[in-house]
Amino acid sequence: MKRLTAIAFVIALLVLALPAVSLAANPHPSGRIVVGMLGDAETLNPLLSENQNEQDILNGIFDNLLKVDDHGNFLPDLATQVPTIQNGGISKDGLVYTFHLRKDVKWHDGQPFTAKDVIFTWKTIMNPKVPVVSRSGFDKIAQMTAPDPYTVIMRLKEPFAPFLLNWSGPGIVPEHILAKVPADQITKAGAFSHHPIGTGPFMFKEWKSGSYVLLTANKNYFGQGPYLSEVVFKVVPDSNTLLTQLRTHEIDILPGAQPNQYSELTKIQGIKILKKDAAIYAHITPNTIKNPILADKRVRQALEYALPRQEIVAKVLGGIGRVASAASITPTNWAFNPNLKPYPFDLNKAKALLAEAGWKPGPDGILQKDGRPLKLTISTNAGNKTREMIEQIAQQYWRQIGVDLQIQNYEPTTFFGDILDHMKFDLALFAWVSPPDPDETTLYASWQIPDPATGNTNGQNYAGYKNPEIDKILKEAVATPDMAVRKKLYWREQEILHEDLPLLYLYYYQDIHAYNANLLNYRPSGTTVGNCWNIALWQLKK
Amino acid sequence: MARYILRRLLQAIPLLLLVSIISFFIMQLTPGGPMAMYLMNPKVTAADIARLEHLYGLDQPIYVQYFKWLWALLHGNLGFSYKTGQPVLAMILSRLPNTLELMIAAFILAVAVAIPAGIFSAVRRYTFGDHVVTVFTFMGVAIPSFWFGLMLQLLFSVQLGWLPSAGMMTIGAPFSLLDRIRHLILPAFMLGLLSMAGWTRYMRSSMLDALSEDYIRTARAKGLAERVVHWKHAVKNALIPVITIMGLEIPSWFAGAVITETVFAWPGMGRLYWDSVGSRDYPVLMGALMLTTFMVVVGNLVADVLYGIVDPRIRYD
Repeated sequence: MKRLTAIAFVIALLVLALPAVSLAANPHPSGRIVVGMLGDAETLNPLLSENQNEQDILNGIFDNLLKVDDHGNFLPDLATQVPTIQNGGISKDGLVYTFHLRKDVKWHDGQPFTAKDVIFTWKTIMNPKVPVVSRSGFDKIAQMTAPDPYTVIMRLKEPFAPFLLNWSGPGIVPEHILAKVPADQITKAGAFSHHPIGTGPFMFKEWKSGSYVLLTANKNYFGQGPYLSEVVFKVVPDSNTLLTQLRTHEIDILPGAQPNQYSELTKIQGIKILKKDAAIYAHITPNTIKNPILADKRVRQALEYALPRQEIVAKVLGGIGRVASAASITPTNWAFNPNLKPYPFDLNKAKALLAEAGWKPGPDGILQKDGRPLKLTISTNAGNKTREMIEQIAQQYWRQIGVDLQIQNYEPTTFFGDILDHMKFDLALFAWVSPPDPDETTLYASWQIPDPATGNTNGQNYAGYKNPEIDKILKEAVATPDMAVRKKLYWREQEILHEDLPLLYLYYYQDIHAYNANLLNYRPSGTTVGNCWNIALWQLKK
Repeated sequence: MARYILRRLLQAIPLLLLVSIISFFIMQLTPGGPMAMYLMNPKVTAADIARLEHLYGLDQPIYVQYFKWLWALLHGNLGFSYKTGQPVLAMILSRLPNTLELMIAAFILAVAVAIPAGIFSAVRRYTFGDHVVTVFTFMGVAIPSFWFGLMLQLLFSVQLGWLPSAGMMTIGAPFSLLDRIRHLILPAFMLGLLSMAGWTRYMRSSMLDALSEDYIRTARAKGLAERVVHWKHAVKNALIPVITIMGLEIPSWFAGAVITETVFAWPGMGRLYWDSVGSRDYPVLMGALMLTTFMVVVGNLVADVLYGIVDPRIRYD
C-alpha cells in the first residue's frame, strides 16, 4: 500500500511537472473565457496600439522576442534566450545586442517566422510615413543585421539600459504581409489593423466595433498551450454593468474593479478575488516654478508630514492600496529600495519645519512670511471621487498647520492636456503609471521641465525639479546595462527623492481582479505589461 | 405638400451651417485638445506631438481647419477619426443602425404602453385603475434612467435570469432575430420609459378633452356603442397633439441613448459621440453633431407632415 502511494505520488509529480517541460502546442484546447473591458480597441496593429485594452488583446495574437512576467523578469519568447552580458547576448560596452530566434515559429497563415520579420518591424516603426506614436528606444538603434535567418544583431548609437523592453510585449509583425502595403497605408484603419496575423497562441476571428473581439486557439502555437478554444474581449463601458455581468457570469474576468465594488464582489459565488500591487502611484506634484513657496524643501516636507496617508488608504480607499514610502519606483519593481520608510503623520514635525522655514502665524491662524500668507491651490481631474476626497482631507489637516488650501478642479482633458501640461497649477493631484523599467528621466531630470510659456511638451517634470546629482544618476543608470550597478544607482536616487520630495508621494495602487474560480493561471502583472502576458497558459478547470 | 417639404429642407441649410460654425469653434476653444492623451505618456516626445499635429492638420489656424472641413463635407467627406484613423462616415454608419434599432424598439414599446394606458386612464377617470396608471406614470417621470437601467438588470438578469444584462448579441453566434430581441428589451424599456410616462399623461388629457367635445355627445346621441364612440371618434382626434409632442421629443432620445447605450453596452451612436468628446476626436464629434442636427430638423418636419395627415383641417402649401 505504501509503495502504491509512493508510485501515485511520483506519477502526480510527473503530471504536475509535465506542462513545465513540454513545449508543444496543446492539440485539444477547450472552453471560452470572456474578459470584460471598459473601452473598445482602436486598432489591432501592435505597432500603432496605444491603450491597455489593446495590449491585452494583442498579447493573445502577437509575440515579441521577449516577454516580461508578473514579477518584472524577462523571459524568452520568439528569442531562444534573454540576452545578458554573461551569456554574450549583450556586448560589454552595452552597444551590441544579439538575439537568437526560435526556428519552429509559424505565422497564423502558415508562413515561417524569421529574422526578416524583426528587421522589417524595426524599419516600419522608424518609417516617417507610419503614424507610430512613440519611437522611444527604437531610435537608439544604429544598425540591425541578420547574419542568418535566425539571428538578429542590433547595434546601438549609445548604451541604453532599458533597451530590452522595446523587444517585449506584443510587437513583431509579418514582413510577408505588410511589406506589400504602402507605408502610408499602414494606419489604424488599415486592413491589417482589423485582420491581424500574428504568431501568438490565439488567432484573430472577429471584431464587432463597440461590442467584442473574438480570438480562437492557434493549434500550431510554438509554445505551451493554448488551453482555451476561445477568448473574448467584451466591451462594457459602465463599471456597474461590468459587475452585473460578472454576477450573471456573462463575463469571466473583471480586471481592475473599483475599490467601492470590493464588498459587492465578495458576495458573488464562484469567483476569486485577487488584490495585486500595481505599478501606479498617486501623488501631489508641487509646481516649484509657478509658486516659489513650494520651492522650499521644508515646506514640501511639512505638507507630507501633515497628510494622514494611513487614514486615506484605510478610509478613502477601503484598504485597497499601500502608503508610499516616498519614492516613485513602486514595490513591484526590481529597483525598489525597501530601506526607505514612509514619512509618518506628524503635525508637530510639520509645524516645526514651517517655523524653521520662517513662516509665522498670522491673525487668522494662517502662516505668513514677508506679509504673504501660506495660501495654496490644489487641482485634480473633476469627477474622480477618491481624489476629491483626498483634497478635502488635505484641506482640513493642512489648515491645522496653518496652510490655507483652496480646491480648483478641472474636467479631465482640460486638467491633463492644459493645466498640467502648461504648468498652470500650484499643486496637482494625480497618478503616474510606472513602466517595468525603473528609469524615470522624464519625471525628474532638469532638462525634462516643460516650458510653461510655449507648452513645449518635452518632459513630464511638472514639478520643475532640479538636482544635479539626480541628473547625473539618471544619465549613468541608462548608460550601463549592468543590472547590479543600475540597482545601486536607483537606490541612491530614491534616497535623494525621499529627502527632497520633488513630488508628495501618497500611495501605491492595488488592482482588484475578480475572475471565474475555474480559471487557472490568471496572473495579471500590475504593470503596463497588462493582464494577458501568459494568456497561452490560461486554462479552465475540468 | 412637396413644395412645403422642399422649402423646409432649404431653410435647414443656413441652420446647419450656423450649427457647424458654432460647434467647430466652441470645440476648438475647449482646452486640452486631441493631443492631451499623449502628453502624459513619457515615451511620446515633443517631436512626436508636432509630427502628429501636422499629420492631422492641427497646426493650421482654426478658420483654415474649418474651411477645409467644410470643403470636404461638401464633397461628402466627413474626415477621418484621430483615434481610429477610419472615415467618420463609416464609423457613424456602422453605429447609426444600432441606435435606430434601439430607438425604434423604444418607440414601439412607449407607444404600445402609453396610448392604451392614456385612453384607459381617461375613460375610467378617477377610478382605482386611473390612479394606478397615474402613480406609475409619475414614477416613470421621476426615476433617474440610469438607476432604472441598473434595476432592470438586477431584476431580469441577476435575479430572474430571463434576459442578458448587456450587449447587443450573443458573442460569436450567427444573427438571430430572437436573440436580438432578447438583448433589446431592457435597453429599449430604459430609453422609452420617460417618454412612455409623459405620453400616457398627454394621451389622457387629450382624450379627456376630446371626450367633452360636442361631436362625442352627437355620436352618443346617435346611439353608437360606447366602444365605437371612444375608438372611432375620440381617439383619432385625441392623437393629434400627442403626435406633435412625439415628433418633438424623438430627437432628444439621442441624448438619452448616450446613457442607455453605456449602461447596456449597446454599440450605438450615443457612445461613439460620448467617447469622442472625452478624447477630443473633432472629426467624429463634428460628424455626429451634424447628423444629430439634421435628425432634429427631419424629426420636426415629419411631425408637421404627420399632423397634416391626421388632421384634415391642416394644409401646407
